[in-house]
Amino acid sequence: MATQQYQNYIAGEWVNGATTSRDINPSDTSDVVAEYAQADKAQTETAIEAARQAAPAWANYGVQARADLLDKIGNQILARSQELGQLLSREEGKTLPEGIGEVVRAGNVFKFFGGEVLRRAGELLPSVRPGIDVELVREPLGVVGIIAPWNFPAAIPAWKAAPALAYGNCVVFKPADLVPGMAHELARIIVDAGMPQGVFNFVMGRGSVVGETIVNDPRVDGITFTGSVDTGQKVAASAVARMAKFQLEMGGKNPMVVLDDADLNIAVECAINGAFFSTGQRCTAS
Amino acid sequence: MIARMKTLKVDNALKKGTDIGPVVDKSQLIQDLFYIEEGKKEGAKLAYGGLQLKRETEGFYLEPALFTETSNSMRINREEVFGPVATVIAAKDYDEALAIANDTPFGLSSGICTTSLKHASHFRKNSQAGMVMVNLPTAGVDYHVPFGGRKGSSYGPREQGRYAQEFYTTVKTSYVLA
Repeated sequence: MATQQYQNYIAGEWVNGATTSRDINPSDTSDVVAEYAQADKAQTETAIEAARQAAPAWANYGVQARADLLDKIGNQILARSQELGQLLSREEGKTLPEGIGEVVRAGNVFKFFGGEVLRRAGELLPSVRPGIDVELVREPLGVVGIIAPWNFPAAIPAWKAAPALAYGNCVVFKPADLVPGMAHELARIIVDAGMPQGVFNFVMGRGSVVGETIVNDPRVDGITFTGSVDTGQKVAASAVARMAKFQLEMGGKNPMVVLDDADLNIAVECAINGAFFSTGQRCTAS
Repeated sequence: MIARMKTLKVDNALKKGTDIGPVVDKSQLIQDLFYIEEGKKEGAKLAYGGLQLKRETEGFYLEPALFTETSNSMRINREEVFGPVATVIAAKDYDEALAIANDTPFGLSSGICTTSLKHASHFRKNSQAGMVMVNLPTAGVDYHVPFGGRKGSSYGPREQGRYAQEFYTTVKTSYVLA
C-alpha cells in the first residue's frame, strides 16, 4: 500500500518538494504516518518572496476580517481536536490525552489572537513642544520566519503563527523534521480558512536548508525560533549579522524545591508530572 | 516518588491508560541513555528505572529514571537531558535550596512545594527564572500570559498572551504639527 505524500504550501499553491521524508511513529517504528515534501533553497526563497509581496496588503487587511479568519482557524482546530490529537500522538509519542490537550490549546491560541487583532491600541500624548502631538503606534514587522521544535507539534506553531498573523505579518513556517504531520494539517486549516495568497507559507525541509535560508534571507524581517541551544546560537549569530529581529526559546534545567513543610502528595505529583510526563520532553520539565 | 513511579505505565502513545509514551526517536533515546550512564559514572545513585523497555511493537520505550545522592555539579544536573530522567539534590535549608536552584546557566522555569507563605513569597521574588510555580509542576502553562525565561534559556521578548506584540510589532513614534 502506497503511503500518502503531503505537500508544501508556497505562494498560494500546494507543491511537491525536491525530495520527501518519512514520518515514523515512535510507538511503532513499522508504522509510517506518511511521506512529506522536503523543500530546497529555491522553493524556500519563492515562499519568502511571496510573503514579501503579500505583506503590504496584509498589513492593511481589515481588522474584523482578520479577526474572523483567526477565530475560524481556532474553531476548526477545536472541532477536529480528537482526530488531530491522534495524529500528533502518533507521530510525536506523547500520550493521546496529551496530544488532544495540546491541539485544544492550539485552537484556543488562535481564538485568543483573533481577539487581540481588535486590541492593537496605540497612544497619543502632548509633546513638550507646544502645539505638537505625539502618536505611538505598533506596526507589523513584515515577513516573519517561524522555526518550530518537535516536542509541541501543534501548540508552538500556533503560538507563533497566530500572533504573527494577528499583528499583520506574513509568515514562512518551517516545522520540525520529526513532526510534519500535525504541522501539515495546521497549515491546511490556515490556508482553507481563506488566507490571501502569500500571507501564509508552509515549507517543510531540513533545518540546514530551509531553516538556514529563512534565517539568512534579507527579506525576512523577524525570526521566531524554539529549539536547541546550539541551533539557537547559530540563528542569533546569523540574524544579528544582518540586524534582523529574532527571539529564541531554547532550553531549561528547571529546579523544583521541596521544603520539609510541603504537602507530600502535592510535591510527588508535581515532581512526577514535571519530570516524566510527555516523556520528559518539555523545555519546562523538572 | 519511587512508589508513584512504579505505577506509571510506559506504552504505546495511543493506547488507553498509557502514562508515558515513547521517546520521540532513536537519537533522543541514545541521548537519554547517555545521560543515565553519565549519572552512574559521576557517582549518582540510580534509585529506580532507566531501562529500555520492550512493548508489543518496536518503539523507543524508556522507563523513567530517578537519581538520588546527586550534586549540582554533575552533568545530569548542569545539562538539559530532555528525557524522563529526574535527579534529587539534598539541601540543608531553604536558603541552600534557593542557591542551588539559581545555580544553573538556564532560567526558564522553577518551582517550590511548600505550605509556607513566607518561603513561597521569597522564592517567587528571588528565583532567577522567567516562570515560577508554587505547588505546581514546573511544566504546564496558560496561553494568555507571557512565556519565557532568562539567562541561557531565552532571548528576546516573551511569547504568548498580550506580551507577544512586543516581538511581532515594531513601535513608530510620530510627531505632528498641524
